[in-house]
Amino acid sequence: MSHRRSLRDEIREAIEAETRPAHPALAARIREGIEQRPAGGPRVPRLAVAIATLVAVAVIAGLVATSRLIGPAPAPAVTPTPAPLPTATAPVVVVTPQAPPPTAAPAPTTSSAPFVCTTGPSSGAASGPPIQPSGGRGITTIRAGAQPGYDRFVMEFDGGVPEYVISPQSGTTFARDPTGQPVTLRGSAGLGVVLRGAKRGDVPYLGPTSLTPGLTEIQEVQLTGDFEGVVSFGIGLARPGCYRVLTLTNPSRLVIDVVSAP
Amino acid sequence: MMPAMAERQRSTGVAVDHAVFTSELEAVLDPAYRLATLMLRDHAAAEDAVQEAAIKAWRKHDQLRGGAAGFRSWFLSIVANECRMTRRGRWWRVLPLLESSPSGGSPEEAVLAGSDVREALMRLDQRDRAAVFCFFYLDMPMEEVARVLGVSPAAARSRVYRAAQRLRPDLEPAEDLR
Repeated sequence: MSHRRSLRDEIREAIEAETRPAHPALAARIREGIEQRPAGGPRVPRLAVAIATLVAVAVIAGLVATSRLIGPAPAPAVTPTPAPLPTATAPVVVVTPQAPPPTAAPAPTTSSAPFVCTTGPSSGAASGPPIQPSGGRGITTIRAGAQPGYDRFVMEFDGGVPEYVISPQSGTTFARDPTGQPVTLRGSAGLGVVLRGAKRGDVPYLGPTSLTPGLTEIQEVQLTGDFEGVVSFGIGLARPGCYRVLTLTNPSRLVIDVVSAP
Repeated sequence: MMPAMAERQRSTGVAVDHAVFTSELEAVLDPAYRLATLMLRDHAAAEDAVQEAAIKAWRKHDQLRGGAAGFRSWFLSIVANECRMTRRGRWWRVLPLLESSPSGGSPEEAVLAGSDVREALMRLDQRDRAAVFCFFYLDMPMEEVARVLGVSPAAARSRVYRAAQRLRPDLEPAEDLR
């Protein structure tokens, strides 16, 4: 690959050409602008005031309407008035331009279910959302981690989960697709994973190609094939293990849990 | 209790805050200005956006959590947001016509026809350009890219991934992206 510059270098060069360093005058202008303003003061934007007013009016109107429907009860008419005041500060949050913190992926609800596992091969049809216009059902990344009682290997997809076949094997030697060259992973037993239609032919997989997570069961994972839409992984296990397969959504994930030895 | 002392403490506190904030801001001014230039494709508009973002950041810098390490992505997220609002609200609305490729082909065709990465980069959608800038130029981890864009790490990853493909459709597996 020495004849070709990396994409990163080319992008850097393009950005250097399109942009230039900030002019010192900009820093000075900003410093001046900041000095004229108090910090952190809760300056309520006009939009927030408008929203707060609308909310307050709606709350009062709603309370008045309900109290009329319920019947003649003059006393509650007094209590609603202080209520809109606290709400007036709340909508400020709505208009702050700061980005919300990235939401964590929802925890799989299946983990509380009894752990049913297999030592034989398993497979599944493609599932989840349809193929994306950009060529989805693409595998985007892989990862492995320890969970109480089992080790987890996760494949994440842009689009739905593709058709998959998982085959246990006695050794840790896998054949690379399409060259057929053998590759031997750490451990003493293996799980082969084949994903069909895991991506469009010309879309490369850009995630990690190997993992050595240092777990008790899952010792090594390698991308063993990425050819004509078929992506395969070899998983090296410490010992022949019982495993289960889960498909999770949002984002679409195919999960292999390997039970830890007791 | 002792109003004078309290008052003095408060004012020194503000002075220190101010100095810390300005130095942190100046450390990230360069990437901020480059990001704004890439997003708005106009130097003057980029300066305005960065200045506006700086003032907004100053007003709510007490909301910043995570110290200096978090400052860069926090401030860049305000800049990116400012750029999006600028673009939404002004005469830029007419520009998408000019933005479309002059040769009339799709971006993929243009890249295949031998146009360079720079041209392909400027054809990307505004937020894709921001994603590419953060990931490839600033070497940000995906979590920080996500924070700047205001999306989940998974969404940031697929944005970077798709943008990289558009820049170089023949990208090889595992190249450049971890």
